[in-house]
Amino acid sequence: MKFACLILLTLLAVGVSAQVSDRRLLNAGSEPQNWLTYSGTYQSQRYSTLNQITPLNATNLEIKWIFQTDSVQKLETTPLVVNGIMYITQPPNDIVALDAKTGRVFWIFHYPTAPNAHLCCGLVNRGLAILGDSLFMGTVDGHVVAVDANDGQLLWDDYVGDKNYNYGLTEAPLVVKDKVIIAVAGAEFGIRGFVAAYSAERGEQLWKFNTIPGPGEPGNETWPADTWQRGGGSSWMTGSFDPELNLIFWGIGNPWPDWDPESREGDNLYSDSAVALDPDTGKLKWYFQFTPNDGMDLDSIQVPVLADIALNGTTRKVILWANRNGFFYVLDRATGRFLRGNPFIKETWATGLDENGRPIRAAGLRASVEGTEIFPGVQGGTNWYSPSYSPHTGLFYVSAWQDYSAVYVKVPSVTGRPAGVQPRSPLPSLARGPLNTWTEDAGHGEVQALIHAPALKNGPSKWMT
Amino acid sequence: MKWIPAFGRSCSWRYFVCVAAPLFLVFNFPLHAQQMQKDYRQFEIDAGASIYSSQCVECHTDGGGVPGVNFNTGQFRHSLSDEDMLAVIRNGVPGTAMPPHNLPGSDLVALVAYVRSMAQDNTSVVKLGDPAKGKELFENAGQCLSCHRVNGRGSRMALNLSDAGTLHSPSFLRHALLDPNALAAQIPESRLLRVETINGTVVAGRRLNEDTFTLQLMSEDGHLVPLEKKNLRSVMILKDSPMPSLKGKFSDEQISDLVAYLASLKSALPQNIFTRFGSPDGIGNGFPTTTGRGTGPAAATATPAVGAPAGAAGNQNPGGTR
Repeated sequence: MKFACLILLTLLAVGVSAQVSDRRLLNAGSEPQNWLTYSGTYQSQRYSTLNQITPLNATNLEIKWIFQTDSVQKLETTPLVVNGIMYITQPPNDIVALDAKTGRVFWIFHYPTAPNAHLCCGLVNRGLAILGDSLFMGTVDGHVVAVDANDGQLLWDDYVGDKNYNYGLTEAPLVVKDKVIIAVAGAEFGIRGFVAAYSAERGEQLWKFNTIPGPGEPGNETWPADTWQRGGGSSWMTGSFDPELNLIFWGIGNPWPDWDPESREGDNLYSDSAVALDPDTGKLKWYFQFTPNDGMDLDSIQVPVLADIALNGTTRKVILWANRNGFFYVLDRATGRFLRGNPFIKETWATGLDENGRPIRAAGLRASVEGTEIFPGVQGGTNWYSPSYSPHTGLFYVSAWQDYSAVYVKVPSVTGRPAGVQPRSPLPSLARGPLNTWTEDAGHGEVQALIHAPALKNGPSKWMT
Repeated sequence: MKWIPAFGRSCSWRYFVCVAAPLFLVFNFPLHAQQMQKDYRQFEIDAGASIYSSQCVECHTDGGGVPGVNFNTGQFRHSLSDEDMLAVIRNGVPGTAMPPHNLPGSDLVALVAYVRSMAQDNTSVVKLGDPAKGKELFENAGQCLSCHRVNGRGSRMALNLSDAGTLHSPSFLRHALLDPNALAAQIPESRLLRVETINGTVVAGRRLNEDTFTLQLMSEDGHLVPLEKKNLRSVMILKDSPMPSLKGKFSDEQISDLVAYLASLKSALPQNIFTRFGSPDGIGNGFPTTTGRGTGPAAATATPAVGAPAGAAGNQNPGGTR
């Protein structure tokens, strides 16, 4: 057998190239056997056209293989799948290449987390992005790295944080064109958040959008004095991309301090907002703030779900957003204009939304020395759990916390800590301090999968389980 | 070139890819380490061997069990002197699975004595030439990049040499250049395989992992290929290294230049970043592996939010994950 023949046969066996081009990412929905971005496609609908698993045969599913991670941290990764190879992250920041059919490991890339890596809520990672033969990952100690998808070798390593602050990266990056776009976490430690783009080839930063505007920038007036410097506004979930509008959409997290809005009177832009950015320049095109002057840690980091739906007889390009504040929103994604919004769980902090989508706060419902019970609780109506949308049913699907409250208490200064506000709730902060049973009577809720139909009908939830 | 059947019906295959390219190696300058070693007596080495068996062997096996660490080379990332090594054993290496060891001083000294004694070739004197000339030879006349990969350039068909200087001593590198066959058997993941499936498809590539049921290759075009043995008719293993010996093809001076270049290939990666092939638990994997990691780096148990800015009141995160 001649060598040339061998090469040919090898290619036949391997099939299509494993390289993931920009074009493949744009058309990721046409490869249902693969999963090329964090949310499957740039629209982030997490809707699969695969049809082998049905309601009738789902009960027959059984475990095919198990991969045991070498970590005791929470596993929050969404796998990428490229031509039979599955890529996952193993906490904190290892990358594992698996045979998707058997679960056998090809290789593991071990990333040495800095001993002082410091995040509020666990050294977690939610996944990877891929372009060409390169995988991209943010790390809990403030790096963005690129790794060869074939042999697991490090290609570049860029430190993007600030050694004086607690910057960490937990979200999966989003590759748009030739750029790797990712944001930082750390609002619980008073960082100034940002979304930034890095060259996929070399890792250098190409643009940076500060989520908290500085002096002279629009929005800075929403922060008193110099509070903007540590305004938080981190982001820890992956955004979405509309190639026709050439806009990326990212959800921005809570302001800092989380539960003390009186210390930063004002709207505190762009905390708890959706922002639309030009992926080529990082310039802000529009923003929509869900929760001004947040005092309940109501991150708006949920994955933006893009859909084209009929509203009042017209097909609109919209973003569907079940927010941590308990309201479900429909926004025009070309302009950011508010179209519709309704509570999808029990909430008491606002009596509704005005015509521009701004919440109408319930009078007097603020933290107090005695404690004030507010719905939803500290996890919000939902949190980071990826929602989905079916163009087939026209329904939006979201995991939610229903009938769930927290009690917000003003606490005096104690040694080492200034006065502030503490939320108290029996769930889900089981690992932190003694259990508080005070809110038991109020009920601490339950996790529910909620199927919502307000996008089309402005109506109630379809069903819950 | 000889192929031997791993299983299935035997067949000969005479025309495989013979690649001109230097090997799977890498360097490190051992001079400092050698100068900073003490002489130990046999009873100290014997005592160290006993302690090694109880404290170290689970991860380090016979010296090469942890990827990126090979006691047999006499080269160490974190230790130049014996005092350095003693401190590493005592304090561990933050950010890695190497834990601190609370051992008496005499035991620590014995361990250092034994680990030093594991170096197999650190007494060989190898002449190091001009690394710049070696690089030129590597990339041009030697055509090494047609099989090997260095810092993102070259083929993935043979081993990646970006960190060759850390993993191998100059004497090993020289040996590999002059007698590749003698060393090929030491690096099972460097073996070239030709696989025929039951439907007649032939795949050739470098073996990455193998267990009872599966085989994983790096194809010649540099992509991962998963195979299930139940679907294979035959697996042929190339007995000899596809890399030709450079003996007689390059002058002694050129060999020295190549060795100097390979020895200089210490990747710019942060310490302790490494990639390991195969199952994390080593179970069912045809090659020696080790956990080498334990339950995660020290940082995974990082302390709660001390040092938060003033005003970070109260409970740090009932809000769950970030």
